[in-house]
Amino acid sequence: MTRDEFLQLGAEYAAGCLQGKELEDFEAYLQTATAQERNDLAELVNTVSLLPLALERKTPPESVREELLKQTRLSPRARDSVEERTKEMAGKIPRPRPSGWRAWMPFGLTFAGLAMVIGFAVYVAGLLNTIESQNRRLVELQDQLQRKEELLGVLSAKQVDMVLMSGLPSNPTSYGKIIWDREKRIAILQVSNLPPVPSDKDYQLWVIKSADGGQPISAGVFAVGSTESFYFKIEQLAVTNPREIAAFAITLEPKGGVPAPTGAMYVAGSPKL
Amino acid sequence: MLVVLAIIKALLERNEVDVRLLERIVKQEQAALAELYDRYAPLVYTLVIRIVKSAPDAEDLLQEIFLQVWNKANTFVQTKGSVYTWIVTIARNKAIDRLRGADKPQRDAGVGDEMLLSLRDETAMANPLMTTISSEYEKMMRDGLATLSAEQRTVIEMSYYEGLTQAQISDQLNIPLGTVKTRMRNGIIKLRDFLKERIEK
Repeated sequence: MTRDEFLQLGAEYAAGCLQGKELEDFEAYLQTATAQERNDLAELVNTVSLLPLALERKTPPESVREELLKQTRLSPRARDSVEERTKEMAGKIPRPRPSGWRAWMPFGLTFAGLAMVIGFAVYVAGLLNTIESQNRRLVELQDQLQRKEELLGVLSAKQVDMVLMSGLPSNPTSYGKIIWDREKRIAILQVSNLPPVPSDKDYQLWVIKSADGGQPISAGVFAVGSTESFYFKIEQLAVTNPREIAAFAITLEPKGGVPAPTGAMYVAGSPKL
Repeated sequence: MLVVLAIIKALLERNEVDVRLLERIVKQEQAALAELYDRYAPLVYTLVIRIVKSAPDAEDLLQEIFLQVWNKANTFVQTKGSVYTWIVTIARNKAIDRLRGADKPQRDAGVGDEMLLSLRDETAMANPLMTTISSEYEKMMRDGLATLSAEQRTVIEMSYYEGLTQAQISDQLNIPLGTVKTRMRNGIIKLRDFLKERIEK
């Protein structure tokens, strides 16, 4: 469309005279009109809108103004606005506080929810403790099983020696025995009724040889829990012949053991030759 | 040139005042509506009484038009035209609707409020033709119409001030529809050119 063509149609459009297909086509064209064309059209529209200025001015009656202002005091928009504002304010104005049990219901629900959370946490913590305890117990039982299997292994040897040990005055109810596979030089210590060891202590097994002036030789350290019986594997016994052994003794020593016995002796026994 | 710039500045300032008034009307300030009414009621009343040719109808329409301004002020978009053009368009459309059939919109076609506002021309506000009214413009418009041929002026006045369709004008003047269209087109373009020339002088 040339500029002249656009101005011609634009003038009719500005005057509100375009109709039917002409109007449709022109409005469709406007969607992609150039800035120049849009400016031309805006000028034409506003030229037409200035036509009232050419008329001889007339003054409306004052009553129109009064009636207008009277109506706008509560016009539909004013009422709508009031309703809208009421809705808006409804979200901002604090609602009347409920009384009686309703007043406490939110706190009750909150408390109940909190209690459930805490209860669940305690329950989970308990479960975890139980699992941990069971794990410890399992390890303990596995350890015991292993020791008993070792004991059975020693007992199944072709020839074993056994040394019985009795409780000493410091703990007369305790007792123990050493079952010794001479061939494999492996021994199992079994003790019962020994008091549980403090955390900074260990029991220490001593071999007291007949020779060398009866010098005690450490055969290992172990700890005893609450179990009545305890099995302890002595990996390497320093002697191979029971005749060389004057006695076995168990003392309570500092954690990890000491080179020579320093603590109280709990059980002791000598081989029956 | 300085005089022209002064006029343009004054016109822009006038539209700014109108826009501020509309903003206050959006906030339901009755005083703003009263002020806008005082600025435009005589012009609007003059236009609608010319179209409907009845003082009671014109008074009723005047009230209706400003009620629409009150209720729809929030639909005015400043960047799309002047407050003056917005109000005059509302006024003329309502008057023609009243003239043609009990307020039922029966305009042939034309620049409705929405279409007028859709003329997105960022330069519009800087164009004095689009800003507002002034006594200088009143004289310019009269002078401008006087430059048109009698034939051109007649079809424009019958269309704009009396709300007649081009077909009705054709019938009344007993001339071809094409002639009506040509006279109207050329008349409006000539009027635009006259106003531009006067402003740019």
